[in-house]
Amino acid sequence: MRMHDDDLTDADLRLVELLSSAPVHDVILDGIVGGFGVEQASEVLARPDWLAYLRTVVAEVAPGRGWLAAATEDGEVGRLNRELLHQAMDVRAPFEAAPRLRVRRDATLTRVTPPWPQPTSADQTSTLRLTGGHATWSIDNLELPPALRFPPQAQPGWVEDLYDQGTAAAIEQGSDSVRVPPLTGEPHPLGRLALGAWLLRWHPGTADPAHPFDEELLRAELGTIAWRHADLLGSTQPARDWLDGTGEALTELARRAGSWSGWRRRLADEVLREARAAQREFAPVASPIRLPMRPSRRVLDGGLALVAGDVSDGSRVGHFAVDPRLVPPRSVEWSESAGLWEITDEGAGPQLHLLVGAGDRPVPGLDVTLELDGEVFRLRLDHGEDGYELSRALRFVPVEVHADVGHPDFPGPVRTAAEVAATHSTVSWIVDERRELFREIDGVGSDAPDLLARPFVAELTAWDPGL
Amino acid sequence: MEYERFTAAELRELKTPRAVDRAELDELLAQLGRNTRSELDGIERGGLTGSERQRELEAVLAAQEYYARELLSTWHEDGTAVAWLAQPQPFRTKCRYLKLDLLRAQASRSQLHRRHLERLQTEGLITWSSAPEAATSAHDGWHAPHPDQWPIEEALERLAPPVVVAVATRLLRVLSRRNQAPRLTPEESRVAGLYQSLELQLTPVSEQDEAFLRGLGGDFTAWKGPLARELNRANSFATAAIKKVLWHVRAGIYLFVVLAPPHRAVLDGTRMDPLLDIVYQPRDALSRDEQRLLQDAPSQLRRERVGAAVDAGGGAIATPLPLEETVGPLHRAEERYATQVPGQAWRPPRFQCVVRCPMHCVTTEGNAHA
Repeated sequence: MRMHDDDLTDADLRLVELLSSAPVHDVILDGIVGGFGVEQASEVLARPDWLAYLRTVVAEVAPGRGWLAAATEDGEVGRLNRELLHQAMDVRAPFEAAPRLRVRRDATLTRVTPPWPQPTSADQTSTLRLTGGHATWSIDNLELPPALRFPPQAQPGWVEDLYDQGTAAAIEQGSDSVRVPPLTGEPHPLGRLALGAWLLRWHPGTADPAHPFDEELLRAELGTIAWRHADLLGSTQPARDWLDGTGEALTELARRAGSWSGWRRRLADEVLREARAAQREFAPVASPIRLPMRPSRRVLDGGLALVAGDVSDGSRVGHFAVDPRLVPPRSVEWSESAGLWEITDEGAGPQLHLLVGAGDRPVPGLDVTLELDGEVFRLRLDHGEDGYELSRALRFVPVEVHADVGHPDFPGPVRTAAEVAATHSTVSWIVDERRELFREIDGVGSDAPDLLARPFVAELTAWDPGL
Repeated sequence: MEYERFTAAELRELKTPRAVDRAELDELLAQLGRNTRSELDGIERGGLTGSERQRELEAVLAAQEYYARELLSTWHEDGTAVAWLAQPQPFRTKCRYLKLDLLRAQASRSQLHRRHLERLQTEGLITWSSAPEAATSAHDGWHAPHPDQWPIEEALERLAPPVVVAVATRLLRVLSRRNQAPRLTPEESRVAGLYQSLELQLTPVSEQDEAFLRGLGGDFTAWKGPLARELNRANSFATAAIKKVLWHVRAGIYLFVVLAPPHRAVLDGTRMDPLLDIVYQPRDALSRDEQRLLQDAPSQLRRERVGAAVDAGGGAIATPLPLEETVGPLHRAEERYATQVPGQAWRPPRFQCVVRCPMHCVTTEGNAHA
């Protein structure tokens, strides 16, 4: 007879009742976690009540790593553990079902979406235009298969290339739910092209005027990948476009990499080898080597300080964000408050001054839409010594000042400050994480050059300007 | 390792799922074992030490686990297998990527990731296309659960008793050998052992306790007083220890079943230990306030149910917060913890969250192996 404690609550008593209502077989629990010995496995297989217990527990507890490992052993241990594991998997089949791709079709488009969360923001994905469709990678999970879009009547051959033959066939045959191919750790090389294209668009730059992000070098690296996979991209034109004008950057890389060693040297040598091969093929049409556009960039702190320091009584100052989606890559300082406005009045009437910090790669000018107490003005910010600048006399002193900066080549909707801040946060996180990760890449040693997400040489030189 | 070279046609065939019988599947599993041993031998020969060696070993074992699960689950789903998964080349490639993943999981990068997520969550800017029905973000969408439907109570009703008992007995074993909170002292462990043996009839009596029981003269119903005297403790000691044991069991069901992925309760003591540390010891994964919420939730939810409070950070329940203000932070803390539970392959994590939001409370279909 069991005793009950008067001090226990009703809920505790129910728990006690539950705990005393079932047996516990440590041999089986140990086996589920760590694998069974020959003797234990034989006993479990011989006793129906123990087998029933095993099947009850594994409905809620996945076979442990040790049990799975034991099932890959040779000899009797492996055989008996496999036998038991098959019993468990019979029970667990509904819970172990493989993830499935979702396929949605309409009159114009077939969309294939992996089951894991797909980033909805452009700053977290990279989409490549392939022959007859598009593939979109999540930058944070390059090793996962991409989402695809293509016309329903013309499934491209690269679907098989990006997934596998069986998956492509199932999609073509009209399945709307297709098992995800095993993630063998062999992500498609185009994923690297997607990563590079993302960096080309979103890398914030180095904020080091002496060593700006080497865009030409990255373009050269992308060109080599595009050349290698020209069949999937439909032609060699993307490779030509990317490689065009990168001769100087490659020459400089060859000079610098001469003193490198280890995996960094291997990365650089691979880029140079591939680029030379591609350029030999393109030689008849390639443009002559030209100096990359790398305008001198002034340190902004002085400029900003000058404006801030000149604030006189009655003047007003405010900061504003510039949406990196609406301006050319690295044209504007990578900061959530890259823009500064100031209204001064030194006797000649109110003056508005705008200053936007320049990035690694300034452009001649930017557009700005100013809203002053509801009145809208469209003006141009010219690139000057301290950044993009503008000064205008005002007819009145506005209470509300709002500025949206953009560039005609990068149209898009105006987003809230929080949305722009989220883009800054996301991009900085991805770029920072890559830098921190690959600073420790020596821990991965010789594997580094084979990883899809290995650094681009342009990233290496940005992380370590002295390299 | 010398790899076998395959033609394109051979590769294509190896990578294509094909129907196999069980003997063929078992041979693929055995080949996987040989791949594993080969990689492990390579690590031993390489003379690595410390964290680098540990990372290499972990990557190899994780690759073996992944491919074994993949082979088994596919075969039990449709009777096919992909022979390529048992080849040495993809095994080594998987190891490389897993090593990279392990590097990424290191604390400094986790902190970086966490700061990023905190920022986005705070601003409500995280959207997950896989859960379009989930208007509920990780920190809002409070709706009062039915009074009798708190996750812990529900889990206790839903689970087969052997599963509850299995988790409980494993947890008590872990608590008895821990040197830091949460733990059972040696005296409390003795009470726990006797309670399991005499009253719950779950475990055999230990040698130490056999001698003690012989001294009772055959009446095992009154063991608490004599034990307290033997331990030189007050008469109420055993009862207090039993209440503590039951509290821990309830907390264990919460941490290792309710907050675990569906059908992936934690039974492995070596996995329980670090999870307990996450909730009770200073770690990067959770803030102190979040730890307190998770520590208090099992008992507070049970006792107070709707209309009362889980303490949001003060320690004692001196100034209870309205439930609506408390459950949101608890929901966030649960999600943070749930991402750390082994087998949690989903983002956002799947588990029985306190508010039953459709984002977390999803069944096992469409699981991702990310």
